[in-house]
Amino acid sequence: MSALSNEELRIKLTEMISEEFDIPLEKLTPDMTMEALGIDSLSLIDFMFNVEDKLGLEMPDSRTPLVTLGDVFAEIDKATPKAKKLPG
Amino acid sequence: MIPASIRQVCVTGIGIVSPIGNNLASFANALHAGRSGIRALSKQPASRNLRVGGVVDINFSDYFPPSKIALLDRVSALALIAATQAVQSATEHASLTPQLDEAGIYLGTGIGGIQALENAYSEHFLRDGKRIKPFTVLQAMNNASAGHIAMEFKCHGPSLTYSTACSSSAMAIGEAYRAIKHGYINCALAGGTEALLTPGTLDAWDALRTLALPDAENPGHSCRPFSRNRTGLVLAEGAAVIMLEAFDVAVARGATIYAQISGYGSKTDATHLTKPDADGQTATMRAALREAGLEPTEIDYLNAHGTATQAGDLVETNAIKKVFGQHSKVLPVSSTKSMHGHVMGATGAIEFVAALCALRESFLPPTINLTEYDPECDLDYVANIAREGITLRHVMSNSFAFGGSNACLIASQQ
Repeated sequence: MSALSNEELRIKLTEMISEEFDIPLEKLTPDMTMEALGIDSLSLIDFMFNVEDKLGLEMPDSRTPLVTLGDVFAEIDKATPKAKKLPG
Repeated sequence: MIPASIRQVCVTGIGIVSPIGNNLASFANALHAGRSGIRALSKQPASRNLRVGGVVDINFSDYFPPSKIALLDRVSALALIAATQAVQSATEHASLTPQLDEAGIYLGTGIGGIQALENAYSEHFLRDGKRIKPFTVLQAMNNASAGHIAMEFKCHGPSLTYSTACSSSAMAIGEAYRAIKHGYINCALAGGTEALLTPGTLDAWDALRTLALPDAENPGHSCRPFSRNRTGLVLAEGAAVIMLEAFDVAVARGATIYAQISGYGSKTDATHLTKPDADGQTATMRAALREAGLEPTEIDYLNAHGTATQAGDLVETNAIKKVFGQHSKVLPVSSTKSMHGHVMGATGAIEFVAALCALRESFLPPTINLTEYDPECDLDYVANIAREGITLRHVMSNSFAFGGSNACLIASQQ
């Protein structure tokens, strides 16, 4: 499997958030805050952990607060593919 | 210090999830029927011998959304379900709801979220150690269950977790009873929870040589308290939570009252970490009787600790003889562990609920699998078959723990 582009990753991530937290896709715009979407900080940590697994990514160990969906996208942009654990 | 006010304390709600039933009615039915919940455990390494345990048959997705399940170790999920039942039963048929916002949470657990911890250790030691789940700490910590219950019902009173091995939840109920009795709080959710049927925990218990040799043909026959052919305890999982309220508060809101808690004894052996001590047990039962203001002859049924180890059952039998004297010849004593197994940190609460069932439904739960008479264990253990139509006024429940932490509870007809 070839690595996904940042744009493809964002689309994939948006779909996963929509499914996991039962939020319509059209509500998931970069300026939306996690709070407004009803996603608390603990749920987000667990979700991001699962994203790493499912997309075969490794995110940098940053302590940046993820306030908006845009922040989550930016975090994903910084992720690198995992050499040994690519899915598929 | 003499407390300013001493109040009667009553049980107004009961919740239970156990190997013999996932609500009060089905649990009580199993006690009447003498049904075992012990079975062969699946998912065991092939290299191991057969293992048996008391498993709770439950599907958490029937109770919680996926986002909630992610946060819950099995131990907390069981506790939340039991607490929810307790609140429901304390609320239905009453004209006013209980004062949950001021309620205290008093919960016992032996080993807390051990499944989360074992999963994390497996990741750490067997793989690269980088994929330990973010919720591990939150699932594993011993007070997670109490925290979840407090959040669910918005209880702002004290939230305390007791960990005294096999007596954890009896202690929790006893301490909640005293907090209400002495006027610190008006109501409490009290009980215990345990979910320790994990590979590492089973190995550790096995190494201690206290587990029963499994009966391969009939796993339900593995736990045999007070029977001469007893070989040890059977580990089990489950939770029981009861709602306790000050009597005047319960009456004022028109609550259904299941029973009164009349006495609690808490004493320590201070002799040996694992070897039971008749003197410590005797002191514990006497302390409970003293608090209840009862003579030994007034106890109508005793739910024994009765783990089915050779030493434990004998020592408890001797302690009962010492406390009850002549009355021990006629006092019905049973070990319901023969049916639900040893639920460790939850076992005191589960057995107290069994004693409450006996009190309410006028019957004596049996000790099943009592097939061989032991001349040294010669009390009336209500062998194998429940006795129906027996009016009970005062019932006692014993819990004796590793570490020597003993507890004894007495419940009475209101």
